[in-house]
Amino acid sequence: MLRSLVTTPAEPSEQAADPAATLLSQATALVEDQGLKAVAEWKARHPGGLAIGHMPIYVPRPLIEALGCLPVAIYGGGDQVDIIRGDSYFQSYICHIPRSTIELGLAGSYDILDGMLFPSICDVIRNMSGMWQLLFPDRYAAYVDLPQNFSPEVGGKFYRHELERIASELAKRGALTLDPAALRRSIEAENKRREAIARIDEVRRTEPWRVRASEAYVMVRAGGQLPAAEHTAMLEEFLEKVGERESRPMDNVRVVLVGSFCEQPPIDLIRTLEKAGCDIIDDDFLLGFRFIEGAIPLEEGGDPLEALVRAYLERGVATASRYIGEEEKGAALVEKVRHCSADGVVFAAASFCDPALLDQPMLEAALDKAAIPFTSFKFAENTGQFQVIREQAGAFSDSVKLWGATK
Amino acid sequence: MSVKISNARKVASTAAPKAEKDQSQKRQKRMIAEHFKKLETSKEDGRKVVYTFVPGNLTELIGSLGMLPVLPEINALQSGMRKRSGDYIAEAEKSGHSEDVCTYVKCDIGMLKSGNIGPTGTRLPEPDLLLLSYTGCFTFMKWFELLREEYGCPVVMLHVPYQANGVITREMRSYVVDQLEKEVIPAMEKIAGGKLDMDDLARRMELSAQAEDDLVAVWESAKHRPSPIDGYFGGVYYIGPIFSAFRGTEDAVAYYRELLGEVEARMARGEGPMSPDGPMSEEKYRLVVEGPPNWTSFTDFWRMFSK
Ligand code: SF4
Repeated sequence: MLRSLVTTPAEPSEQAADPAATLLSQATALVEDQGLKAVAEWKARHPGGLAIGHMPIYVPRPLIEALGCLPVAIYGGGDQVDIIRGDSYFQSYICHIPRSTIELGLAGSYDILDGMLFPSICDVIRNMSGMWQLLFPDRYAAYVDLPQNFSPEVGGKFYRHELERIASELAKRGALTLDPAALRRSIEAENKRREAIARIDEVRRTEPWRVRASEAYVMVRAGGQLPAAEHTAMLEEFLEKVGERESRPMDNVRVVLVGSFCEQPPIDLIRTLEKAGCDIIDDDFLLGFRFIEGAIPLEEGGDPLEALVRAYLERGVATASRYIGEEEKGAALVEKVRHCSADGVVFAAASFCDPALLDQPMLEAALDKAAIPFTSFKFAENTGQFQVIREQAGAFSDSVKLWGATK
Repeated sequence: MSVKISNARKVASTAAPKAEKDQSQKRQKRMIAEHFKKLETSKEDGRKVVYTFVPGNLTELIGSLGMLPVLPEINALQSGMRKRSGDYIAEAEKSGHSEDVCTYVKCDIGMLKSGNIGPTGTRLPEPDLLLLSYTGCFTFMKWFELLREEYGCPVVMLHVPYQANGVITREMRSYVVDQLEKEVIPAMEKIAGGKLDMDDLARRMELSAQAEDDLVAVWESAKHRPSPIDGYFGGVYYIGPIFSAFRGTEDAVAYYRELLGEVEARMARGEGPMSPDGPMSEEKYRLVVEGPPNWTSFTDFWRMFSK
């Protein structure tokens, strides 16, 4: 394989005395904590506080924090959970994340959660909201209907009501009542987190050898069960530590990864792509944290709930679950590739993910038109064999290097 | 769809004669043929064509604005019943669609790429508008994004909120009304080249209500023992007109009146439902079925229950 002509330097975090090593292992522990110990600790520190789980992709976490609750991102069981009961709830031809989520729910892993939110991503997540209500009748479960109409007086009005509804339903369960000042504070905290994530993303774009995608992934995902302020502190420390790293550029291709916005690939799959010579300089993993482009705009004296609504309407990133109306399909991806000076695109969608896989041919057509090379494969969160993907990604990166992107 | 069905094993083992169709079935066939005839000549007749989905369909609105609906889902399931879907799906997969995704979409895309020949054997007109009634099935959204790429025509969306607790709230209603007034109707008027006549729309809604009342009475008949209808396999035909191009038409009213008459007559005679092989004579099991039938082997599947 051509890949063998290129030497892959050691991972930054594998180098001796990596300044970021401790933080990375803390973050990894949080990511692997299927029993949600961090949530239990938060609850111990906040007596009476509710922990509210939410499925991908997007729920407005600042709203939940403003109610004195801890939002907890649920990404299924990854490759750590054996599915025993989860499969019996679903037909064979749907993705994996609902199976492992139900499995963990039935096993009691989410007993610490006082409620679950199911944002509208696809039919699977929507129907899970009903299943959750039936399976756990004593716990709060709600479907969050994110509007697909983005005009403020139509979809905005509806969405605002959805947020108010969730706030009042949670208040009935013991959360604080919605207070604009508290919401403003939690949006400010969220904006700081977003800024820290954006800075990490910037390092990935400019010096991908300094922060690998797999590391950024772990650091961002760890925040799924932390309040924004705590997560931000962690991310800022990480940024500081990686600045101290003595890493050097690698001879890799720069790729944008698309399609993993809901079910997450195993981290080893991300590492496999890196080992195959791909610097993933942008991706849609953990899209919820990046779903709004830039900061949530808070005006002096303005209504923070309206700010949350407008951010969703006006600043949502292009993704398969967001209707794009008259805009050109794939234009946002082409623009992203250009903005990041990427060499190509890797499509990595969960098997049976209708939104991602139905989107893909349109995105591929746009890339073809723009002469941007791409490759694609499918995965399941519990995929354990990476050899084929490694060879495919290696061949892709070699071919891009040899023949270049024809942009 | 969750409907009651009543099935019986046939007692007599004699080979079934070819079943005589009910008058209502013949009427429905005529209605469909006429509709496709209109579609065939729509361009010459200057009639605009709107592609849309069954759930959340706005057929009365389309009709009021003088336009003709095409329902790609129905075309896909009919392709399945006519054993064409295998080739169509293969065609779509050849052009880059994943083997993992909804075959309704691929069947429609494959049909389009194979000349867009509809169920009556004639070429379907291209859409002037894609009316995306999005009722929560995400695939619908992707489907019309894909068709928009193929046809390059405008799309207008109606997002119908999900009634998670089975309740239609004031906010849900106002979201739908806002979309209709501010976006959907103006977009449709632009394509149709005329203003919506509210009186005409009201008249069509009234016709829909009449047809639906009769259809509900047909469903209710399944409570009778033996049930005079098969609410699943037969039900597929019963819902045809109201789910497709005929909401708000005199034709639909006439069809459901006739159907109800036939069902009531069967009930009065103590007869079971019609099967592919004629009337069933004995009701043994009463089942509730969830989900669509196997379209590609529809009749065989039906016989598994009716014979
Ligand atoms: S992986 Fe795709 S199909 Fe599965 S729940 Fe997520 S968005 Fe839906």
